[in-house]
Amino acid sequence: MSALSALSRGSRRRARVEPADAVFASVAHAGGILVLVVMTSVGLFLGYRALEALQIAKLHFVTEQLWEPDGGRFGIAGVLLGTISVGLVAITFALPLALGTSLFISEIAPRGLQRTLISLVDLMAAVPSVVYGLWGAFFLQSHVYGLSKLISQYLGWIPIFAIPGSNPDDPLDSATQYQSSIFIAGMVVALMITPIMTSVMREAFSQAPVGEREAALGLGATRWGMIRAVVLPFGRGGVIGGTMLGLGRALGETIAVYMILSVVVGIQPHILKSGGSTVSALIAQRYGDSTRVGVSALMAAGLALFLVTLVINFAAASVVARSRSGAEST
Amino acid sequence: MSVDVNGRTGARRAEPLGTTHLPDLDAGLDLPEQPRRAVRAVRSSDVFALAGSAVAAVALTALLTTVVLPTSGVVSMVLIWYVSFLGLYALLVSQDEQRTVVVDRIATVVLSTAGVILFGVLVFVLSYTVSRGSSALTHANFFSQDMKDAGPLQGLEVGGMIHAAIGTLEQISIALTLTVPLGLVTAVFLNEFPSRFSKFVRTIVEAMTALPSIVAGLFIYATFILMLGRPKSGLAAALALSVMMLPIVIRASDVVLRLVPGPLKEASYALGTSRWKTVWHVVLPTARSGLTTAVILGTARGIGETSPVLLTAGFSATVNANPLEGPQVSLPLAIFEFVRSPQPAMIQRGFGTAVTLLALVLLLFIAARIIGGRAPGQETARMKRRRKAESAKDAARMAARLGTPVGVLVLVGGIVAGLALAPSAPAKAADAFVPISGAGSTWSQNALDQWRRNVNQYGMQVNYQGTGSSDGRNQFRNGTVDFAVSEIPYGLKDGGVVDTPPTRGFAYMPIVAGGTSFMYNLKIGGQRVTNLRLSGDVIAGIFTGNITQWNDPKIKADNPGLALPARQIIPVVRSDGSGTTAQFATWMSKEHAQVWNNYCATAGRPTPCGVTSFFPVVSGSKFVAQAGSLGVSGFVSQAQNEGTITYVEYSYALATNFPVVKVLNSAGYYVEPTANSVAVGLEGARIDKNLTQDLTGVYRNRDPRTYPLSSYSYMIVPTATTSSFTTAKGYTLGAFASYFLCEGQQQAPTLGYSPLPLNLVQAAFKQVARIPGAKVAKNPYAKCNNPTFGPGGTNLLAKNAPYPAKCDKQGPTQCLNGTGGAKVPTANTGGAPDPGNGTPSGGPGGGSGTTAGPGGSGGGTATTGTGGAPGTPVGSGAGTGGTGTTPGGVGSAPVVGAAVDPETGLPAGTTLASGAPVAGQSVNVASGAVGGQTLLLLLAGLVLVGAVVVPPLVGQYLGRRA
Repeated sequence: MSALSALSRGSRRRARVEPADAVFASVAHAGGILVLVVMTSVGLFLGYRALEALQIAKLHFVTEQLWEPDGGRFGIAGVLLGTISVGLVAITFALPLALGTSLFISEIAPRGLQRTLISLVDLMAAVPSVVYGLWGAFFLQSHVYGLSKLISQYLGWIPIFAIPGSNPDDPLDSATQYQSSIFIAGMVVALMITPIMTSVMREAFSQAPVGEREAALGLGATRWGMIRAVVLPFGRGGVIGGTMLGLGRALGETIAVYMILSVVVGIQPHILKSGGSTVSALIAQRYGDSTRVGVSALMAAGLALFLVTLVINFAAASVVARSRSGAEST
Repeated sequence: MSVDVNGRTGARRAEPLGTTHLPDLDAGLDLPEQPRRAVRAVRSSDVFALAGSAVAAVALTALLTTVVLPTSGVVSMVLIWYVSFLGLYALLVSQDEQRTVVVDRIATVVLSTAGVILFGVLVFVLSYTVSRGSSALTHANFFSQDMKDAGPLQGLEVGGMIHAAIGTLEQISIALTLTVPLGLVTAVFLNEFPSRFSKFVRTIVEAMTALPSIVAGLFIYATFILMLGRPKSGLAAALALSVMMLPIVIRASDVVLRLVPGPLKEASYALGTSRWKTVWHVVLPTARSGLTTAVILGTARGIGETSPVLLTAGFSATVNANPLEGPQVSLPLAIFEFVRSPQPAMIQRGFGTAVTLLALVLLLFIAARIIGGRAPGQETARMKRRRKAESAKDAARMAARLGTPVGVLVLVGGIVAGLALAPSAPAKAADAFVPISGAGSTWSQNALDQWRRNVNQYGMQVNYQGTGSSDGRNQFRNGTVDFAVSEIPYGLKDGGVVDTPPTRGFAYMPIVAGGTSFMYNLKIGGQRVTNLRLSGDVIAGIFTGNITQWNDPKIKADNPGLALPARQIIPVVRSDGSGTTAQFATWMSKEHAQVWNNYCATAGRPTPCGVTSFFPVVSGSKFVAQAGSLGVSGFVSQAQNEGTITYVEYSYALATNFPVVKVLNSAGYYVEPTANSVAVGLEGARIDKNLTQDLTGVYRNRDPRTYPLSSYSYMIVPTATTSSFTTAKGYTLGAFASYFLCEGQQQAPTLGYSPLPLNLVQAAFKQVARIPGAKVAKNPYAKCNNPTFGPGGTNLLAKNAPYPAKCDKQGPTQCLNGTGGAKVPTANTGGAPDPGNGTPSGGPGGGSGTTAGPGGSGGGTATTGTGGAPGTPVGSGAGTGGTGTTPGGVGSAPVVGAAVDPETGLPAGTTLASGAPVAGQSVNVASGAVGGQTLLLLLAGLVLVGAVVVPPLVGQYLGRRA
């Protein structure tokens, strides 16, 4: 009986096909236009407000490392370099980890375990960044001291690992010098971006053709030999794309960095040393107590960050897309 | 209605599918998926090699870390173990395999390690969060209460996070209501109407997925809050989340829709179905599980986002079920706010909230896994059965024409309302009061927080967000808060720009007095120093980077009783725009202008520097910048942060049980910022017509009881109504002000503040009367019981303030009693004469020498320094317990004559003059010779390594000979 009523309703509807379709098309188009308007207005508004600050700072915006918007002296040299430093530290930790894990999941782990591991990686990506921040601020912060000290002790001759004014052999050397550093912030951010990198890479690796894998094995290659000869070349796009995607994420990360880093605006070349700044941490810290010019300056900084992540993301997307189409498989 | 038709569509779809060529193709593709033969097997020798090298590596690590590379760090030990493990494993495998196989084995191990590390870290992060949060989670009230009754020192048995949970649910619901329909429609548009325009939209959407979430927050902050002048609210947070989530949802749905098999759509069109019906009956149902997964994962992402909410939601400690008005905190933001406090209970609450958030995300995640993970359109038999049953049920219900959606809405609304109303039910008598919110100073936040908790019982809901005075003044000017609290007025020039007053009417109203104190973390010989005293010059020197070591002669001159260590001074300053910084900078610019200006110049600020709310920090210096009073006091109070010093209101030192510096006043006494000494100091303040303060007279007050860095904190209240400030709010604000100006002042001393004197209370009440809607009682100060109110308008608190002890006078003696929140006396380590009345038995050294260098020849037997410091070890004056006669004196505090190495500040030996043990850790400066135990370890290690590595080598050798 329900079938009958539905049929009759259906036939009634068929009579109005044209208007329904027209409405549908216009709704869909309206949705698209609305989204376009919202998205572009975000960008345009950012740009418009940023322009206000850029007119004050002029070209110094790129070279100035201080952040005194009310004094007219502000620029992104310090914060953007800090952002990139955090991103690079994160990538340094995340790349080997993600590469290893993705190969482990796709090549080494027993078949029965694979699905679980993939789920775990996805779960890791879903863990809120504030939780990683908590872990970083309360656990890592106090436990990474030994590692930081070790690095500065033995690799201190490399400028970025040096801690000027600090003597690691002095038993009274202050531990605060090794805290709240770009290094620790980068480590925590690494945890956040590893899952996304892992899943992009794993997907690329799993698409390596079975025929070529078996051919390699059949020619007597070991598993590692097969990975080197088939899986890695095939997944190269995925590795590069995933890494860039991770870098894009790392640059935009706010809260975990803000919880760990002691925000001192300026170029911080010593990544192990306390203090540093990133664009997002600067915004989180200064948005409230800024004047109109200050907010504009923050918008300009945010826009600069957005442009950087935008370029990285698009590059990553195109690299991944090209690798998917099989261009790298030959 | 759709479900009904859907059920039929599904059945109809199954038939044509069987007749197309598609299934044959699928079947053909399935062929290689047959179970493959295993190409490798695990041999016992592999397992032995692996286990053997692991065990041998342990031994080798023990060896290396004790003999060659002495280290106790867990991280470095694990690293050394791993490297040696790899080496040994390679060695073992190479005995019976080729090079390529060795490489393969090593690569396998390395790759597996990466996996183990990543999943290990995940498990560790989760279990760490749960274990730290478990103490909060075991309290049922944590899930049922908000934080309105829980003070900063309150234990876990009061207070919870229900307000944040409600906030999160409401904000994410609004965000989903906005993003899901729009996102789905756009995704359909992108897929069904391919054109140049849709391609452009897709590109823009993809670009926007790169938008950092904080920038999304900044956008809403700049438009919705600053431009439209709306206060921070749950709606603003939801909008920020929407801006962030929209591109994510569109992109994910777009990908899912693209996966819908083309032939399905073509079949539908071939039957003459319209576009709309094809989308509604074929495309969307087919992609349903994928779309749901996309939305759920987007939700999980949005729920966990902190940064957009941080800028837009505001902070409230109470349940606010109305997302349209008033600050509304969410779970991630609550975590962030909880852990800013150095109080253990607050941190536990933060972790507890994190566990709740994790559970929520996990729930969503599992839901996504259950729904997702199937190919488009694929259904289990159970789902089919259930769908049939449901459609039958739906049909019956539809026939009855009971508007179900409305029913669901009512149900959901009822639940939310119930949640919201339940905790606030007892407060229904207070219908006259409306919630008000303020922001600003963290200097006076401890007092404000106490007061607003107290007025809860009258049904007043006052939200206060300690975001710094500059932020408070900004928010008040922008009209996003009802009142602000600041230490400095509008109109001051900071960094060359005048902080313009708001265009709306406003008035300054003093709320409480207090001392900007210098809280520090310093130990001598493992014992906390609690009696440090500093002169203004030295403080200026420390906070401008001119004095960098604790054993600087200038600090020693102030502290003859302390053998200060050669530790670096780490000044901790505020990173946000702060009234405390402004107070400190005012004092610096008035009293130490030269030093201050020089410092500002090196930090790149224009000079003369004057008053600034933003402490200048020279990039690359040792200064540590932290946000908020909680940030700086929390940083200093961490055990490992020895050598730090910060400027913060006295109450923060009390709350963290840390000492504060006694500051030298103009009369030559070192004074602690107690309620009394602040009251005395402020007798010298000149109050301007608009009630703002000129503190020069306080800095130079000649009264020996003066604390020179005393000041008032102000509330900035509106004197005219605006669109967001109604008379109802004015009524509440007036009642709140009447409370804290009168009864609230009684609590000031215990909180670490100083109550306002009568003349200022009177002046403040005049300002209260100017608030529109506020009602002031006729004689509001009659029953205040304010400790300062004396007969004839005298300030009783100042009048009765005790004079400082003799040992607090500038000179060779130094009081031993503790300060601030650390009342434990400090041992006299510097060889100063006994500050008590006892006969100084310390010998001739201390008496005349004001700078107590290593001069005190004490009763202590000669000790030897371990640090190889050039200075002779100091034996302290072995004083007998001082019998304090002066008020606040040392009493029967034991004077421990601890011998302290002047270079390190650590106990030089174990021989003590008084025989009392000094708890101190010895520092192994020179690594000693290899002891007997180490030799044994070495031997054992070698044997183990031999046991693992030698047999295969021998075996191979023999095998080769045979």
